[in-house]
This record gives sequence, C-alpha cells and structure tokens, in this order.
Amino acid sequence: MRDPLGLVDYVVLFAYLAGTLWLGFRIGRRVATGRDFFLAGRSLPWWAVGMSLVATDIGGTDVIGVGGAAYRHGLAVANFEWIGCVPAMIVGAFVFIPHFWRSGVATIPEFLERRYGVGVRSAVALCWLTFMGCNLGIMLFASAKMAHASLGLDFRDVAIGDMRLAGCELPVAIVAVALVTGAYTMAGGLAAVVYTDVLQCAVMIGGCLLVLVFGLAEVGGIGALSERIAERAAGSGAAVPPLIEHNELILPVDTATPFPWTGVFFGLALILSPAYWIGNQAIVQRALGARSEFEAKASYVWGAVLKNVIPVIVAVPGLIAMVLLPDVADADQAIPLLANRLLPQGMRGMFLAAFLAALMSSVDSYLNSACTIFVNDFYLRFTGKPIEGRGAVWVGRATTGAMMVWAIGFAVACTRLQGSGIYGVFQTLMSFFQGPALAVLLGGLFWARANRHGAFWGFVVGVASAVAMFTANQPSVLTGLGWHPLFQIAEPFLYFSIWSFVITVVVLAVVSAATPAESADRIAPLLYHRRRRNA
Amino acid sequence: MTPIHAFGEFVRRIFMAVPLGAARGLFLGLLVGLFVWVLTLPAESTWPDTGSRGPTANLKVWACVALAIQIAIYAWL
Repeated sequence: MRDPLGLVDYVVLFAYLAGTLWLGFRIGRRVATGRDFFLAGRSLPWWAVGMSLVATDIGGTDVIGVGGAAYRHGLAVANFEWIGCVPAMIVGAFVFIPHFWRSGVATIPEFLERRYGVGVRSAVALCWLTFMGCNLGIMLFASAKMAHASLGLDFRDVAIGDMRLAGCELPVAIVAVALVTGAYTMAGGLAAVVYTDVLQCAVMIGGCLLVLVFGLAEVGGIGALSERIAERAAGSGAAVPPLIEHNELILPVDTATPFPWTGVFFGLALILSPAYWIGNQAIVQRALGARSEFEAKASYVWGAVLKNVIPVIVAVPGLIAMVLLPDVADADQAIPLLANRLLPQGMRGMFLAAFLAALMSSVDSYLNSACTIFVNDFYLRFTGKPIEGRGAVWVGRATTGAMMVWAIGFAVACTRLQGSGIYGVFQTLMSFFQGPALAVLLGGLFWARANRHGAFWGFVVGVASAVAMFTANQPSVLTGLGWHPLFQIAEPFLYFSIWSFVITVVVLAVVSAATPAESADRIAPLLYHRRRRNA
Repeated sequence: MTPIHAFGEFVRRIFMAVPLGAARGLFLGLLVGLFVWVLTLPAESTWPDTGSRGPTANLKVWACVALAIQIAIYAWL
C-alpha cells in the first residue's frame, strides 16, 4: 500500500492549474480582433510554437497509453513519435509551412478554396470539424476513464488506489477539466493556447522524466534494461513470441503487433505523418500564427528536435514497467502503477500535473482549431463578414463555449456506453480522411492540372473507400459475407490510410484529366514550384 | 477469396519476402535522403532575414541535428 498524496502533491497540482489559468486570462486581455483570436495577431515566437506543437501532439491518453502500448507491444510504438513525426516536420518546415504562411490563410481548408473552390474547402472543413468535435469529447472521456481505471483517480468513491485525491464523480471531473481549459481558450484564443502549452509542455516533460529517471535507477540503467528484456524474452519461450520484438523498432510484416514495418513506413511515415503535420488544422494553425515566415519554419525544426526526446520519456517507462512489474493484466495500468511504485510523496503530484498538462494542451488546441474552422470556413465564409473585427472575436468565443459544451456532453454520453472500443474507433476515424486530404493538398501544391472536380471527387471517393475497408473488415460483416479479413493485422488503420490515399490520387488524376483545367493565372501563386521560381 | 483478397495476399507475399535488413535500409535511406536534402537547401531558406547570423541561427544545423539523431536511432534499434 502506498502513501496517499501529500500536501506537496496538492500544492504542485494547484500551482499548475492556477498558473495555467492566470497565464491564459492575462493573454486574453490583448485580444482585440478576429486575427488576434484565431492567429494570435501573427505574433508568436518560434520557441513557443515549437513547444506547443509537441504539447498538442501528446495528449493525456498518450502519457499513459504510449507507455502501455510499449509494455504490450514493445519499442515499436516509438515509431509514431520518431519516423512518424521528425521527417514530416522537417519537410513541413522548409516546404509547406512557409508556403501556407505566405498565403496568409487562417486555415488549411481556406487554402484549398483558393486552389480548388468552395466545394473542396467545405468538404475537408466538414470532415475536420466533425472529427475534432468528436475527438474533443473522446479525449475528455478517454482521459477521465484512464485516470479512473489506471491512475487510480477513482472519481466515484474518493478512493484513489494507492494515491488519494479529493474525489468526485467521473462526469464532474470531465466538466472540471473542460471548464478550466475552455475558460482560458475562450479568453485568449490561439495565443493563450500556445503560451499555456509552453507551460504544459515543460510540466509534461518534467513529470514523465521523473518516472524515467527513477525507473532507470531502479533497473540499473539502459544496458541493464535491454538485457533484462532480452532475458525475459529468452525465458518466455514460444508462449509470448511478441516479447522477442520488445527491443526492436522495425517489425516483420507478420508481427503480432499492429506495427509491421510496411504499415509504419508506407502508412505512417509517408502518409499519416505528413497529413498530420502539414494538413491538421490543430497543428498547422499555431505555425500560421508565427510572427515571421522564418519563425514559422524555426518552430517546426525546434519541434522536431524536441520530438526526438518524447519516446524516451513516454515509451521507455513502459519497457521499465515490463521489467519491474511483469504481471500487470491491463497494460494501460503499467505506467500509473510504475509511478506509484517509484515516486516518493511530493513527486506524484508532479506526475498527475503532467497527465493533466498533456490532456489540457491537446484539448485547448483542438477546441481553438475546431472553433477556427467553424468560424472561418463556414460562418465568415458564408456571411461575408471580415476576420478583422471585434464581432469575429465574440463569435469565436461563443463558438468555443458551444464546442466545449458539446465536448462535455459527448464525453458524458460516452460514459453511458458499454464497451471500451470507442477510443480505438475514433483513432481509426482519423485515418479515414487523412490520406485523402493529403492527396488533395499535395495535388493542389505540385500538379497544375489538378482541378476542383478531381479534388472533390477524389476526396469523397477516398474517404468512402476507407470507410468501406473498415466496414468490410468488421467481424460481423466478414461472417455475413463468408470472407477472410482484408488485412492480417489487428487495427489496420495504417493500411486504410495507404489505400485511401492511393485511391484518391487515382480519382484525382483521372477526373482532373477528363475535365477542364483551372485558370493558370489564378492558381499560379498557389503552386509550390511556380511560387518558388517567382520568389 | 475475392479478387481484392488475392491482390492483397499478392502484395503481402512480396513484402514478406523483403528481409528486415532491407526494410531497415529503407527507413535509413529516407532519413539519409532527407539529411542530404537539408544540406543542399539554399541559404535564404534556412537563415533569418534579419538579426543574428551566428551558426545557431541557421535552421539547417538544427534540422541536421534532429535527423542525425533519427539516423542513429534507426541504425541502432
């Protein structure tokens, strides 16, 4: 039995929450126009944007879930933070981000309208808005559920496993985190989100680092960790074959994990990762708010340097847990149990603050970006009102509030659902449209012949094909049709993205070739090579 | 077994035949290729327009640091 949370833990938690709120509201006083609210008045420094990129990417579920996945599947999960981030961030820094920044757009769908037309803009914006709206609720729900089940933050009966915290019902915890996050996001818009993300990034890295340092000290260092994993693999015989892969990043095609090298290389590194780092509004928006083109580029490079560290602090603890706590039934409990075992009183508050920081930094970013898409790509687009006005700020704040209420409602509704697969379903949902969205974006940037008809139908058919693959791979459908599974691995979302990308490229090319080209003069400034030549 | 299954199995068998060492080469090739590409970037796209001209202000240096760490990781693990 562990000691309960102590006074110092509560002080750390309170200081973190109070500091976040103070910072967010202080920045909120500077917001005067819609451009301030949605793009921070294009005043953000590179270091803040870079840390915000990393903090946004790492959610509350990642702090616990990535370690859990490492515990279950091994180091291969780190691919998502390494080859699944760094190359795309470097290419994004020097190719895509400066191009978008110079265009002066507030959203990626806005860029797509300039290149193709309003149909493509609305279709892509609708997909992102739907995803973000649902994902907000899922992030709150999944984090609260994970905290409830794993961190021992038992919100229902005040008991907190080995740790104890003033308890409350699960929905109350969801509402509390959402209200704090929503309050400063409403007040300060993108600037508040980015500067609080800086604080949250530091807290998150610090809290996770504690578990890593204490864990390695107990195991005996990196070399000893690797040896003990190998010993476990050797001792496990054929009963647990995936254990052999625990020290490996590159896994065979027939691996028992969801991370075969083909999916990681072609699906993650070449499609999902570029789609995420150059097409995800929640990511790109902060770089669009950088104070110069150089700082926008620098933010991505700085983020890429930081990204190298992240798997070390979130995935390696999962391997440490595998050695120190080999018999944990639910892998998602591995990291909280490890923190319980390793951290003395006073430092557990720091770990809890890291968890909350990771959750809030993702929620505030998705909240702000969903609001930006709704206001910029639908409200301002179809009412014809300018972004440079006080009215846009109030519409933005009202939309942020409404999105927060929606997210809370969605999260609370999720608590009433039976089964635990909903988070996985929404991870898969993202892979439905990321591949098609990337294909349309790349076509628009690099191929002058790509036109609005090809882009629109390519996107629609690509998304439909991904949904069809997902549906056709469901056990009930397979049984009904008498089919074998389409894919041989569990959770084949990496493969959905590959094939939906390929299908979108084919439809985009065929339909564009069969229909009239866009006006060359109109699209010339939007094409990467033409713009570069003219620069 | 549908034609889609047959095609998928065909693709799967091709990739099954690729040795893991070659797969690692593909990962490293991507990273090394990017590293070389970064080295060839023109100065105007990696230096700030104004202000500091010290070596740490060159984005090429930091991009190469990030990629070099990646190359070491994928060569080692």
